[in-house]
Amino acid sequence: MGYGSDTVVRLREVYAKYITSDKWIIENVSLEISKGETVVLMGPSGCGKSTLLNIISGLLPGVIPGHVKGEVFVDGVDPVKQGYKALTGKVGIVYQNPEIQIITRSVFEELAMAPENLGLSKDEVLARVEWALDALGLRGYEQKDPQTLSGGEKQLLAIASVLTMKPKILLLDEPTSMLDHLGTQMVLSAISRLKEEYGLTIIVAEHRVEWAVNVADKIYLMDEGKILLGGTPQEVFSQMDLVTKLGVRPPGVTEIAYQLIKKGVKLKIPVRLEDFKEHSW
Amino acid sequence: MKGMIRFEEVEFVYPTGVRALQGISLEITQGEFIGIIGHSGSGKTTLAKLAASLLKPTKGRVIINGVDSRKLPASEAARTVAYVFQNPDMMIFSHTIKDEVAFALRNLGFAERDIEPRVREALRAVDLDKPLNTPPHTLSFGQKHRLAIASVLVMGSQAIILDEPTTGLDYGRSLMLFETLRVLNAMGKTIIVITHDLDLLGRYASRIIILEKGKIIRDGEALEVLTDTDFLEQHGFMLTQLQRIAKELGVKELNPAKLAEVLLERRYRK
Amino acid sequence: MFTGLYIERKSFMHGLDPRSKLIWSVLVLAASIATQFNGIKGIPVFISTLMALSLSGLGTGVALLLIFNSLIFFLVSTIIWAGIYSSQGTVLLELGWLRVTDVGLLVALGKFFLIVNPIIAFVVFFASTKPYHLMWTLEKIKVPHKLALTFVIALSLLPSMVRVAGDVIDAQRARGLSLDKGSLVERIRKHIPIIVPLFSKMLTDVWDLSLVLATRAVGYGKRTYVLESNWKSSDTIFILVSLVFYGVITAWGMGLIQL
Repeated sequence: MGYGSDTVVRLREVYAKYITSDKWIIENVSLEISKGETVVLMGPSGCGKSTLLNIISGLLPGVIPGHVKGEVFVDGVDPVKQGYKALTGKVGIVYQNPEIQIITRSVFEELAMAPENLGLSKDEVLARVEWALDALGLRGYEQKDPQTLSGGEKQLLAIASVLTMKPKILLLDEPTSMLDHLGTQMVLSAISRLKEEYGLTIIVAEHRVEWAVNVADKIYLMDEGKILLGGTPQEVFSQMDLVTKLGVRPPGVTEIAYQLIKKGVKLKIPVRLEDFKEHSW
Repeated sequence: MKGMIRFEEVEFVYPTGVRALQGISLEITQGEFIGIIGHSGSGKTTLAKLAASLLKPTKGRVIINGVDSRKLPASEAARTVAYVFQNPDMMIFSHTIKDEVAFALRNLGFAERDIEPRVREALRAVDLDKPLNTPPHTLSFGQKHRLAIASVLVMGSQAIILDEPTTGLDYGRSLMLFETLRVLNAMGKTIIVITHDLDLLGRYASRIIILEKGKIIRDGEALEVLTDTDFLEQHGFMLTQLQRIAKELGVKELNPAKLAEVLLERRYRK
Repeated sequence: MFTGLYIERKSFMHGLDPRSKLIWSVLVLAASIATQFNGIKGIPVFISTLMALSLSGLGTGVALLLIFNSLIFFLVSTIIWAGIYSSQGTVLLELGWLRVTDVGLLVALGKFFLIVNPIIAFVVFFASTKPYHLMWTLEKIKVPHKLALTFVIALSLLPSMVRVAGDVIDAQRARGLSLDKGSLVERIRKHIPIIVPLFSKMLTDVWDLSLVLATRAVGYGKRTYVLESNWKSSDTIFILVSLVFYGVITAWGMGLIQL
C-alpha cells in the first residue's frame, strides 16, 4: 500500500495526549492531505484542533512533552520516530497571539532569524528575506520595529518569518481570533494569495466559517479529539443535524437554509453567498 | 431615565502624547445593552476605562451616576461600573474560586457572613458549577473566563463593561456568555461590550456605538447600524452573509429564522 | 515581545562594537571593586559612567531616574557602613546611636559606587546594544548558544513585565483594590493580587516564546549572522583610553600607586 506521491500529510489511527493529561486529547484520527490543498479544522474549544497542528508540526512530542501513538507522516518524515529536528524547515506554524511571536527589534532581523538559524549562506538568507517581504506585502517595512506594527501586520510578519524556511506546509492556529476586522482581512487575503500564487499546503484552525467555505478544499469538524465530519464545505454543512448538535456555527446562508428546511422547503444546502443567489428555492 | 454614565466633550491624551479620544459626548442610560465596535487604536478600550473611572479625562467630564469621575477613585467606582478585562489570567490569583470571587467583596468591606451567598449567586449566574474550594488553575480557559466575570459580577454593580470577552472562546461558549449577559440585562443591569463579533451584537445588543480614530462616527439602534452595510464596508468592517442578505432584502433583521420567513413570504407573493 | 532594554538611538555608544562595550563594562566593575573602600577614589569612575550615559543618547530622563532611585540606596548604605566602621577614624556626626566617622563615610560612598557604577555601565551596554548583537557577542566569547539565548530572553522580558504589571494593577483596581491604604504590612500583602498574575503571565510567555523559537529552528546548528558588527578604530581608541583610565584607578584603589 503506497502513499499517493502527492500526499504531504498522513495521519493514521493517531492518538495523542500531553504529559499533563490522563485521557487522550486526539483519538483515532486518520486523515490525508495532498500537496497544495487548503484544509480548515473547525470545532469547539478543546476539540483537539491545536493538538493536531502540534502533531503535524512535530512540536508534540518533540518539544511539548506528551505521547503520540499511530502513524504520522509529514513531508516524507515521521516526526514521532525520527525526532523533531528531522522536520526542521519543512513545516511553518503561526499562532493566534501576534504579540508573542515577535522576537527581534526590526522586521529585517525577524525575517532573517529562521534562515540564519538554519545556517544558510548570507546570500541565501538575504534572498529569502527579500522573497518573504514581497510574498506577504511587507516591502518598505524592513527597518521598522515590529512593536509599531498593527495586529494584522504583526501576523503577516509572523507568517513571513516562518515562510523564510521555505516549508511545504503552513499551519495556522486561529490566526485572526485576536485581530480586528482590518487585520483579519489582511491575514485572510494573504492566506488566499499564498494558496493561489505559491501552491502551499495550508492547514488552518479557524472559526471564520464564511471565509473557510470560500477557500477550503476540505473542512474537518472535530469534537473531543475525534474527526466527526470531513469533506468539501458543501458536503460538511449539508449534515444539518450533526452541525447543529456540535454547536459549530454554519455560514449565514446555511443557517437560513436550515430554517427553510424546517419549514418544509426542499433545497440543496448552500454554503457560499453565490450559491444561495443562483438558487431557485 | 437618568443618564447613568455621561461623557461631556471628553478628550483623553496618554502621557506618551497619543490622543486616544476627542470630542466624545454620549449618554448611557440604565438597562441598555450596548456594543462598542472599532478597529485597533480607535479608542474603544480608553473609552471603556474612562467609563469605569480607571482613567480620568484630560478634558471634559465623565459623570457616573451623577458624580464626576475625577472625584471617584477606581476602587469606589467599581461598585457602580464593573470592568472585566480581556484576559482572565491577568486577574486570577487566589487558591480557591471562592476566594477569587470574594476578593472584590472583601476589598469593598463586606461582612464575611454576607460574602458566601453572594459568591454562590455570582457563580450560578455564570453557570460555573464547581465546589467553592476548587483551585482556579484547574479550570479550563472558558471556565476561567466565567470565573473572571463572576468575580466582577459579585460586586452587584449596575453596569458591567466587558472588553472583548469572546476572544479565545468558540461560538457555543460565546453564545453562552452573551446569554448570561442577556439575563443580567433583563435584571436591569447595563451591559457594555467591546467586541469585533457583529453577529453576536446583532442578536443581543440594542445599541451600537462605532469609534474611529478617537471619535464616535455612529451611534444608533443595533439592527439599524448593522444593516447599513455600505457604511460599515466604507469604514473597513467585514460583513457577514446575513448582513448582505438583509441588505438585499431591504430589511433591518439579522435573525436567520426571521430572514427565512421574509424569503418565504416574498416567494409566495410572486 | 523581545523588546529588551535596548533603546533605538544614534549615539556614540550605539555605534561602538558590542565587544568593546562589554570590555568597558567589565573594566568599570573591576575599578569599582578596587575602590570600594574609599568613595573618593570611586568618584572618577562614577563621573565616567555618567559621561557614557550622556554619550548613549538615552536622555537625561533615564539618568535622573537612575540617580533619584539610587539616592535612597545611598542613604541606606551610609547608615549600614557608617555603623560598621563607627570605631575607626574621627567622628563627623553623631545622632543618637548613629555615629558617622570620616572612614565610615568614605566606605559608605565606596560601597555605594560599587553597586551604582557597574549598574549604570551595564544599563548603558544593554540599552545601546541590540539583542541580536548581544547574542552574537556572547557566542563570540564562546558562551553556549542555549545559554546566550536564555540570557537575552530573560533580559527582554523585563520591560514587557512592566507593561503587564500596569494592566494587572488596573484589573485589580476595577475589583476594588486600593493600594494606597493601610499599614505597611497590609500594603505589601495587597500586592499579592498583582504579583501572582504577573508571575503566571511571565511563565506562560516564556513557554509560548520557547515554542515560537522552536518553530524558527533555533538551536538547529551553527548560526549565520548576516548583520555582523565591525570593530572600528573608534573601538580601539575607546578601549585603549578605558584600559589606561580604569587601570590607573584600579591600581590607585588597591594602593599600588599614590595620587
